[in-house]
Amino acid sequence: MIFSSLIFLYIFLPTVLIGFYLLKHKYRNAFLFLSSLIFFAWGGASYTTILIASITMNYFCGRLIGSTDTKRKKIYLGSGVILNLLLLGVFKYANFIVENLNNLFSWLDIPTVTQTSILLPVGISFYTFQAMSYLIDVYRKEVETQKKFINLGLYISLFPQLIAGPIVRYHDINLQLSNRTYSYKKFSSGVMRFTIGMAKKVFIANNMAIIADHFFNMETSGLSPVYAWLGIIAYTLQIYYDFAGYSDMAIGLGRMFGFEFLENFNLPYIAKSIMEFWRRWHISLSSWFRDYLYIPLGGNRKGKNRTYVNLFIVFFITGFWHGSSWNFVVWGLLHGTFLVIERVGFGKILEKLPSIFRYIYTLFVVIIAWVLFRADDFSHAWEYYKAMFGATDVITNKFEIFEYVNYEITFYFIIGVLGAFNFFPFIQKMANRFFEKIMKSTVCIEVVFPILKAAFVLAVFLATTGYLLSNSYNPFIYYRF
Amino acid sequence: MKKNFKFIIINISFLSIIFAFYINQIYPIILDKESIENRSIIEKPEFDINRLDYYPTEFESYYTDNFSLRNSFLAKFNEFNKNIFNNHIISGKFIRGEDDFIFSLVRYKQLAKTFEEPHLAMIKKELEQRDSIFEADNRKFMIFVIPTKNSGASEKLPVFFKTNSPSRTQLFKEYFQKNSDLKIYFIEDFLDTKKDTSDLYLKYDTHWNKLGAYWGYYLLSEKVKNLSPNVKTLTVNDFIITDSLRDNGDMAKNLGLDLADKQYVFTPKIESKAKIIPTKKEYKSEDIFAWGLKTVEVDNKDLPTAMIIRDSFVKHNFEFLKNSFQKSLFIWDKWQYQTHYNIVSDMDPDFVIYFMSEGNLHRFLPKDISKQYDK
Repeated sequence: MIFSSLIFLYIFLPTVLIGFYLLKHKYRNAFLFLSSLIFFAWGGASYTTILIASITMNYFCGRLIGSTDTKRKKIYLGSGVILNLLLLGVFKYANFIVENLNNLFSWLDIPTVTQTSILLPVGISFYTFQAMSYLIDVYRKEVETQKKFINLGLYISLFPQLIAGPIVRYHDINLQLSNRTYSYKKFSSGVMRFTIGMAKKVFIANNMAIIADHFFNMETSGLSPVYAWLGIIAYTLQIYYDFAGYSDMAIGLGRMFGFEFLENFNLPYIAKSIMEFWRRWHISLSSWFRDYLYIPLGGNRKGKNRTYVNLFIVFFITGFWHGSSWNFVVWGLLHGTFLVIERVGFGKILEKLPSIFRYIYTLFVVIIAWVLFRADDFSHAWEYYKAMFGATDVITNKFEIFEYVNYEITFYFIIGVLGAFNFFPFIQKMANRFFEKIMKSTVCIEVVFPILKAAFVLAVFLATTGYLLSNSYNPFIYYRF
Repeated sequence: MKKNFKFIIINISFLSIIFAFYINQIYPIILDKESIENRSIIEKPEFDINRLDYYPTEFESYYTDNFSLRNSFLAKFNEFNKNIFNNHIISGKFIRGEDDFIFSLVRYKQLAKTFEEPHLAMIKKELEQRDSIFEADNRKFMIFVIPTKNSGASEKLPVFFKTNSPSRTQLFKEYFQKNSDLKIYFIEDFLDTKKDTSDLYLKYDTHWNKLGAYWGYYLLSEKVKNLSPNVKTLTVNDFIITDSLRDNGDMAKNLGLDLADKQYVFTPKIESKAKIIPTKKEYKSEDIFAWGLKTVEVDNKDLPTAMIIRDSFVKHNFEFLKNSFQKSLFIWDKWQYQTHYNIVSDMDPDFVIYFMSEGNLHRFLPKDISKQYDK
């Protein structure tokens, strides 16, 4: 089930909200856990067994880790992590590994093995990483072992962040599992956040997807540089608004049920370096890798060369985490390479340059890298690069571009660009300052703005419903990770 | 309460919207519009424990199709697309052209897919075979190709939808003019000479208007007259032509929009003596709907008889054509354009005429091949 679907908005969410708030506090976690399993099962009932198996396995591993301080503790942790990685390996990487082995065997003239065709269970990368976070946090004694199966089950399967994050580290949410606060303010901030996220996804990401898909599905030999750049810029906006929109919805839903998740995005496209980009993009994943991989590898404490190696390792795995394809690996390594280049000395040169050059450099690298992320395979990415830089025979077709680039899409494109560069919070800040300090009046902030916000909620829901009814194109990109 | 006002109002608006549709579905307070789509609505799937992985998708399709106020939403959405965003493509189905003319995007794409020469040869072989069979019985076989709105009113298409490359119909025309003596007439050329002063197509409908239909009839009648001189072609002077407003064309209906369109009214100065008579029951078959048959008689033994296999464009020509033949049988055979030899041998018409849209020329190909030209 996805958030921007009619079944979620008008059946699942109202039912869960009513049930949740009618029940006594002590039953709420159990109800939310059950609801999360139904939410997950809606996307494929058979996959729910894998999720339940993962919860059960991690519950017992956590109990074992927490039960001892001997050497066995490390063995239990190692076993738990290996089991989690095995689960991920089988369901996410088996096809990829067999395919690559077969390529190698063919090259060596060795008989190939039968190709596997295992389907990827949705959200497995996210909930497996959350489960490992729990085991490591227990091992490090940052948290107590979770003795309640339902609470651990809820942590791993909580539906707002189950499918596409944010990846919530256990130590960030441990206390909230047993003790949360509820208020009108928290609920309404959740509503606003959810609504903004839905608007990002349905209006901007989905419309940008129409352009990006069109140009990425075209024969690259007929793609002019303008079209190719338009396609990748649309994708740059699509992936940001798709994922950030989903994260907003997850954070908003979490607040409606009393949870506070950490932020996952902070205007990544205004970063002035790749290093800064990764402090702003998919923050929960970066933090996970920092806490559970980069620092344990030694981080930057073991000399420069080791730091560079560690960065390459982290970004190799980051790429691989995103998908079982060499495209993603190279995408990760490309980012890792630029991070190392910045650390080697380019970062200092960047700092001396005017901001505009730093913005352009960062965006350029990020956009170029997104081609690898979006292309079907290496050869497609290579052909697309050639189109971007004018190395193809250009054939243009007026009809095709105007079919997709219309007033509606142009409108959302402009909104998307402005939003990505922090225009709207800036306007709101200015408006607040104007009414508070210059007009010496809080009426607008206390009365008019809330009414406008309520109208915004209604308008977004009505428009989203119209879009959903008219448009069946609605997959979340991050579903496949 | 006052302190929480700003939060409560947001929460109330949110809760009211997520519950409103659910309540309206059970207790319809606001009534929905009629369905604006030409398809049946998906029915509720039966729950089957053995098909658990498929049930959610089927249920979602059912739920979306039966969502409270769905048709009203779609209509508003289309209106927004057309009037607010001014989109040239409305809901991925229609093209908004100049003077608010609406065209079919599907038809546009369909006609952009040109004929392959071997397929043209197959059509030629099929039509020549039909022609020789009819000719053996001394019947005249004629085909009149009606331009779709996309061709007949192409000047109203947005500029970037106009193309210099030859259309499917142009290739067909060139091929037959070069390789065949069949009597195939392309009405588009004739209509081009008549559209300077008046529109010949309806703005919000797939079809031509009464005036376009009249000029289509005029060409047909003149060509028939060349072979059967007793046929009299009605001229515009035989009618009093006035304007009227016509509610919703089929495209406006599909968009769920209430749009009135100008239509011509042809009132004959002398009342027609043609009368509709019952069609023989034996003519009805599974391939022809009961309402797909119409027989007209005129009490004039000097006029020829005709079997006219038609499509929806010809509904506007009926009142003109009914006067041209002593007996005419109109057949709408669900776009199959068959020969209907059994009917031909029973009725014994002098003319067998296909009066059809250019968009259906590929239907003369075997079904498995013609499918590719439907996309």
